[in-house]
Amino acid sequence: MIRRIVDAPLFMWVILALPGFRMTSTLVSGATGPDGQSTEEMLLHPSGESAAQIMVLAMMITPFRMMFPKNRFWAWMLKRRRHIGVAAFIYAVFHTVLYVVDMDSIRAMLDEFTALGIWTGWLAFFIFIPLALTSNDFSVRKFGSSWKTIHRFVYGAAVATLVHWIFVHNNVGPALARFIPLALLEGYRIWRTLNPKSLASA
Amino acid sequence: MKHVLTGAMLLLMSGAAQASGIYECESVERSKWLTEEQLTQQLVAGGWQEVRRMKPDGGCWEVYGTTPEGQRVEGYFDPVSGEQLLLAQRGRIIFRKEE
Repeated sequence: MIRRIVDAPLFMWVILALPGFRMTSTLVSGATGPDGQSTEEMLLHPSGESAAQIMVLAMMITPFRMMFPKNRFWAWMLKRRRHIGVAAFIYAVFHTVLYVVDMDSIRAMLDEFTALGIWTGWLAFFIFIPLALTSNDFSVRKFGSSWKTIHRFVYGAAVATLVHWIFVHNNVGPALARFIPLALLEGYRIWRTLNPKSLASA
Repeated sequence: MKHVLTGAMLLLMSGAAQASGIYECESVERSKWLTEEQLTQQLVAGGWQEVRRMKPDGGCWEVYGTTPEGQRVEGYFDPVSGEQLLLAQRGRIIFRKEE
């Protein structure tokens, strides 16, 4: 019974929607921040952070699978990786919409577009679009072996997201705290790929 | 190898540092500060399109608003004189008072 609930697609969607429930309630209530932030401004950071964290989570699955090949949790996660990626995209859409609403001026948006912290955010968002649109069975079949190549662009989106986060806040700590674990895992993955023999001793 | 990595990750995930203050002002007692209304009036008189909000940061008034040029900025102002000390546009420093 529990197994069936856990394996239902809805279960994963509900988990991925959890940060969204909180954000939606803030949006609906129209609450403002302690320093007088507008509702949009208050949700700007949490929405972007959720997008980044969920993207990082999706990217961690393969290296964790290599590290713990028999672990059933990561096998379960792998089956749902496309859902996780799409969830990251949905938070990124929400984040971008909040930004546009909060700016409320095309001119002001263009004016700051060249700031390193801003154009990297747009870049990550525009990389996300084709990845989200092709995260379905039909696209996997249609693109065949090139599907993986397309989806490797997520690494570009990850780097752009990291730079966006650091520079838009002028603060390195929180962004690195989320991305260093991923970098370590990718390092492990590269090391394992280069040293396939170490598998036996690991 | 696995345990070292897992340990390092837990450590990093727990240690999200909080740091602020791109600009520090000399500490002046709060009673001598311009009020929010006074600084807002001063900025609007100077052509600012919008003063959204402000809060004390690093002993300065940190103001969120739109400059006369239409740039959305975070600005640091001397709390007593209201002098503009620094303007940052999404983290990009576009003005810094010469020392």
